[in-house]
Amino acid sequence: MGGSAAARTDRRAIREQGIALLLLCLAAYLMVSGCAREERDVPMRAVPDEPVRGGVLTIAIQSDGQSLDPHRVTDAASMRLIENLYGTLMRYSDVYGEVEPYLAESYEISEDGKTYTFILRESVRFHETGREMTARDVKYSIRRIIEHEVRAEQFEPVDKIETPDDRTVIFRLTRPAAPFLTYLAYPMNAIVDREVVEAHDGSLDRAGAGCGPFRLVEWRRDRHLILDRYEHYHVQDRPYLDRVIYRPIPDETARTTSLRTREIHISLDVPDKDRGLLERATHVVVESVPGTFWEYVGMNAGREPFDDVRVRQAVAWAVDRDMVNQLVKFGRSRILTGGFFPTNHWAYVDMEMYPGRDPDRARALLREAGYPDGFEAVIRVGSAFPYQVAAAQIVKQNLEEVGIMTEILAEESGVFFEALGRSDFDMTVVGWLGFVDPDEWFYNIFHSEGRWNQQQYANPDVDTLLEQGRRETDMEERREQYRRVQEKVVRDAPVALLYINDQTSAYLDTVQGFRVHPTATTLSLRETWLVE
Amino acid sequence: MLKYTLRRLVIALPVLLGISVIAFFIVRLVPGDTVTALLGAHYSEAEAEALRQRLGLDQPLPVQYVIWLGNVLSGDFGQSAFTGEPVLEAILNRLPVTIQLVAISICFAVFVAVPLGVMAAVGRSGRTDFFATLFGLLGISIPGFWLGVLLILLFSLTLGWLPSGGFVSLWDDPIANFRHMILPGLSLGMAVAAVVMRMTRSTMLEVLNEEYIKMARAKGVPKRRTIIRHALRNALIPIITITGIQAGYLLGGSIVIEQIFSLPGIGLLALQAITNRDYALVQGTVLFIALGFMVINLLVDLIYAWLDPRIKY
Repeated sequence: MGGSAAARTDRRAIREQGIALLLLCLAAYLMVSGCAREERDVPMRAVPDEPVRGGVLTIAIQSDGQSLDPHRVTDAASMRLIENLYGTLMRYSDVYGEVEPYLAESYEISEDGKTYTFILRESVRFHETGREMTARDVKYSIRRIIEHEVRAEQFEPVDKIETPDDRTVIFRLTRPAAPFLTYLAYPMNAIVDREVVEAHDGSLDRAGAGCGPFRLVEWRRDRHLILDRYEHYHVQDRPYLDRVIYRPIPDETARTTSLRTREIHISLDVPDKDRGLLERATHVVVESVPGTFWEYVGMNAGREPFDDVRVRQAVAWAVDRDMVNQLVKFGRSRILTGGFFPTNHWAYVDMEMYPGRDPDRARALLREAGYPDGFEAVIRVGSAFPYQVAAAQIVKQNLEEVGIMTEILAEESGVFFEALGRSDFDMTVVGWLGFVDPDEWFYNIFHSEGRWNQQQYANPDVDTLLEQGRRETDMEERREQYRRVQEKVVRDAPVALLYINDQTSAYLDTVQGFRVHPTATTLSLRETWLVE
Repeated sequence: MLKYTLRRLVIALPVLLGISVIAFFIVRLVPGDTVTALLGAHYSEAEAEALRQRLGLDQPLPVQYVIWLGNVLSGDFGQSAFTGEPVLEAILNRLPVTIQLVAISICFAVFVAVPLGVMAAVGRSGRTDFFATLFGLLGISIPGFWLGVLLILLFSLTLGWLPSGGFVSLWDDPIANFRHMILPGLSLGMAVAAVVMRMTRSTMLEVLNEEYIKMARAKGVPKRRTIIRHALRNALIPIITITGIQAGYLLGGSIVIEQIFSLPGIGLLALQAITNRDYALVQGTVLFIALGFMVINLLVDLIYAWLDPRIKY
């Protein structure tokens, strides 16, 4: 009896162990199969020659916008939501850095560069009122931008706006302003419907008042923004899509997964870590263009020892850009050894001012500056930007080798940016999103009176060049001025440039006509169509 | 019962007041403020000062608190400094998502864990008990976010049965809503289920050893009836308590799952509010989460009385 009971217990124990093993194997299979599995093969699609009308397209964005008021927003997410609702006098052309007329049919610039005359396009209608856009709407919109202050600075040279008739707008400027047309093409300097603004007590936070290719249907914060095709859009047969849905998906991996499972059509920002994964998926197209997000090691020139240009240059020579790029960006960014711009920008110059790491030169410069034994400093970084924290760790190691002992202080964004704004830092690793005109790239960061000159950098020559760059209308002259700005700034090294990142987006192979833009704008949606 | 409920609601007021004081002052102790978060890295002192004035942040803190409290008492929770959205509206928009998520998790926990716990206790040291213990161990040791990722890998990427994230309102499309909520609900509910299962098992084991159970069995009451009517009913009080506490935690603690599954819930709203130093929004969400916790506690206490006739209020 006892023997039989023992045998039964043994059998049960063996069976239970077997089941446990089976469960563990199943769990392991799930993990491995999930990780290693390639996307299911989909036969190559036959793409029709002619664009097809119709379809609903879903785009994933990193976070939801703060407002729908183009004249008020400052965050990139809001701009993505708004830009297809509205139109601007000029627009970015297919050549990065250049602009062309959009709501304006044509324009003329006076010889002294101080009078801009725009003739407006006919039959441009606003979504809500169906009213035709007039010169008075343009004047109202520019006035509103100036009143809202966010981008008032761009229109600072505007003295008077005249509207002699419904289709003519004349801007009289106090001085020539080279980036003026580029600013008019900035998607947030949109022409709004005065009547809608007034009907909403002056706020467009949650209303659409545009005349763009798509009109606002519904915005449910943190869920979706729905735009529908505007049937009276002034460009015939555009847009092709019936509906565009923006979905905020904050988690990087979740965005990538949604694309792999075809729940979305376009993921606007693909993190470097997921790029390979998406490239292997047969139904996804990954497209990169040189982007405008440049990152650097910032130094506070208003504080010892970084007030000495030799110390800053020592840092610039000590940093191993290639190593940082390989380890942090998987080698996918373009290291900046000289100038700032992406290669496809007209102001790009091929300069090799810090062609490679040179610790000996860094040590020599430190000796010259009176720091033969190096010094101690703190690198402040934002903990919300893990790639910048990682870059700071490598920079720390690079600097240690030349005798500069640093400590990394990773802080929450609010605290970090406040410190940066007050110029309360020795060193930092951070980045800027450049835009289109070189004035947008440089003036506020490197002019001694610049709004965001956190490095407290001051060089009268650079100030003069930046001021000239704003006024000069001759393209060749401007190119030369900005070449000299770049040369001087890189030599003075208030920032030791690291790299400039590609703008990478990914979309399903059913999406046609979508173009990835260096500034991540989605304006090409009006030309986008879907293959069934 | 009604009197008790009213008394509890009255007691809730000073508690909420206390929480409002803590929420108000603690969020202001954190370095950085709404203004610096709003202006980002690029602003001048004058701009910051002007904005501070516009938002009323230049007033002394006690004055700010009194003004805010006065507004809250009249139903105005203020506006988000970032989006201009009224705080109450922002919370009410996201509350249904979180409530649904918590409800699914708790339902999963109760409907799976309680029967499993009972079966484990009844068949102690047997196969069911072994499975239940394994389930409990896995549920407690697997972090919810990892389970969420595994579930996405299996059900979204490999099998393609369920969406990997996003939210569709229950009223717009109930089936799509269920398809979107099932994975996050399971991910969040697994740990709760494990805790509830273990609690059910241990309490049931205790109750099953009581004299009155043996008496019932000796009197010939069928086994199933003894377990459900006599044992489980007496074991339910601690089970309900632990479930209530877990539900309270989930109200504010579902942030990670909301992030992974892109659910616009209150957890994510609170996180964004704190990151942005959006004071009015932080205070509003903290108050609502606290209120939710208190309501759940009250419900639990009322359920006690319903379950156990000896408990009278």
